[in-house]
Amino acid sequence: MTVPRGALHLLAGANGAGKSTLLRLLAGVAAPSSGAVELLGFPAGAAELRGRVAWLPEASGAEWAATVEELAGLAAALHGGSRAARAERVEAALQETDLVALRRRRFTSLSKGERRRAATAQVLATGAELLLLDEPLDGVDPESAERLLERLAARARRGATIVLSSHVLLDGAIGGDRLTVLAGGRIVADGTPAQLLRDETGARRSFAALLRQARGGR
Amino acid sequence: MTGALRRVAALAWATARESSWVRALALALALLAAFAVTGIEVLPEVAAAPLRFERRLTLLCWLASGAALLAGAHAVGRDRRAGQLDAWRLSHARAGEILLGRALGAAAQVALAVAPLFAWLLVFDASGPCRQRDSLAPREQVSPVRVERGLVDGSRRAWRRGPVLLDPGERLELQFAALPAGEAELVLPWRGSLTPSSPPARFTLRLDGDPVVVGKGGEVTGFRLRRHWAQPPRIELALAPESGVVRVDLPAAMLRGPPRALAATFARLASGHVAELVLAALLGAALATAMAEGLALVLGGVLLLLCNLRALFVDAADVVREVHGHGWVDPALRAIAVAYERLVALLPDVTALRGVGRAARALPPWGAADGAAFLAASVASLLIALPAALLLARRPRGAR
Repeated sequence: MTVPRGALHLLAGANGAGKSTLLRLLAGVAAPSSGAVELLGFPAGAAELRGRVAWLPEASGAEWAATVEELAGLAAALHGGSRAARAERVEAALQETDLVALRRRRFTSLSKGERRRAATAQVLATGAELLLLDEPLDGVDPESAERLLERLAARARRGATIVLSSHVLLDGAIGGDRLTVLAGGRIVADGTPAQLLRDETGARRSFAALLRQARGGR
Repeated sequence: MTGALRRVAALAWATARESSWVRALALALALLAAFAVTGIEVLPEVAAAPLRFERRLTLLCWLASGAALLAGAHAVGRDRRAGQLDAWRLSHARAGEILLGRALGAAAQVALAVAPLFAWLLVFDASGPCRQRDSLAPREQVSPVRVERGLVDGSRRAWRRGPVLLDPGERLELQFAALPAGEAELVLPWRGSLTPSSPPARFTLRLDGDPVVVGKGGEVTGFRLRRHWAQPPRIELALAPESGVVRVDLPAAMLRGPPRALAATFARLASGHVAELVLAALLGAALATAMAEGLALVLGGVLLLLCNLRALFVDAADVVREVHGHGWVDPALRAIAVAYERLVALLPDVTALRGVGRAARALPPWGAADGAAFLAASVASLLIALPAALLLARRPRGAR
């Protein structure tokens, strides 16, 4: 699987399909039993990738009591840059995740979907070239999820490379550059969202139908 | 370097602002310390203000360092559970920076919570230095260089350590080699009438051969002579033949200078306690990188206890070894005691780091051994943090 720079690459699949494992391999926190993972010209986990890659783990931020803005600010600080650049990145991340109004709210006081968006904002605030987002839409309401996907697509158009996994993809995913469907740890379908989300007659089909067909085609 | 400091500061700041329950717990423990020691004030052995101050502050420090251990373990344990430690490894932050930042933040959380109570104990409490300035303000202290006990038969015997029991007709001579600056006070605590039936002490106190006090003693008393000494004095305490036995507390015999400002004492106590909190938080954080929080707390708690009671354990092992010389101890027990002493000696002595004992004895806040205590704590911190940082920074097995 190859992800070109500046692309929004979607990973879809049922629970246990291997999406999170793939993202962990890309982040370099798990090692492949065979094969190789290379990011931005370096092996996954290489020291040269420090500050250039950011990863949103599946269970990120379960108990933080800090505010949304502080969490994003911390992630920005760990990834470096001038004070002005960090503030700019935090502001952009809060806007992209629709959290400007909730910036002073403590993470623990947020709803499940808001927490997920706050955790995503942390990763966006790093300003890393490659963003690995594991289930950023988990618990997020459909309207907010659509908007987030649109903004991530726009970020990719500005040069960021984004690999995003989700077990519930939405219409907004059409804006993605590439969609890979996983099942049982293997790629079962790969193409543009527009191609994969249409059936043989050219009619639009749901993600559920795509997953059913992909599983049947193994 | 600037970047590393900024990252550590960012992590510490974020940690210190989190988890209000840690602050609440620390405050509750601190209040417990204050009230618990208030309850034992009635016991005669803690009646003296310096002892009461030492016990109260020590208990507060113990509980606060326990809270720091908990806060440090929780901060890192939570990051580990949430996968955040792995996520931060992709940033510029090094494993050591993450550990240090989290530990400093956890220590700051606890320090902020107990600071008001700490300040209250120092400033407003009846046994604190501000209210007991005469007993607790630091003073220059000069101990006698030579102590001789003159027996009834006229022979003289050098006395090296510990209190001395003087029998009727005996004398005790103390020789000083230096004088503290300013008006110095001779302190010679002693206790007569050791049993209800013993006769009262009849004594003569001589300075450089001249009698200055001749009298009959009570149950608990001592001498406190304040004057401008021209030269280091020679003190002689002689008991009359009809006197009762007197116990002289020689370790406390000294010439001491006038009380100095308390600011240095406060700075010493605060810096020692903060260092202790950082050490405890770092211990909790480091252990939580490798094991579950509960286990980290138990193991860290045991280590902290050993660090706090180090002097006691070393003394106990010393006694076992000494008694063994008389054939009263099994060789196996002696071997265990020696091994235990060696193990405990590797741990930093946090009581020396804290400096409460020096304050309670009105010693100048900074002693010659304090540098070694801080150095030992720094080395211990490094030894704790290094394996944890290496563990945190390890790459997944098989990764290139």
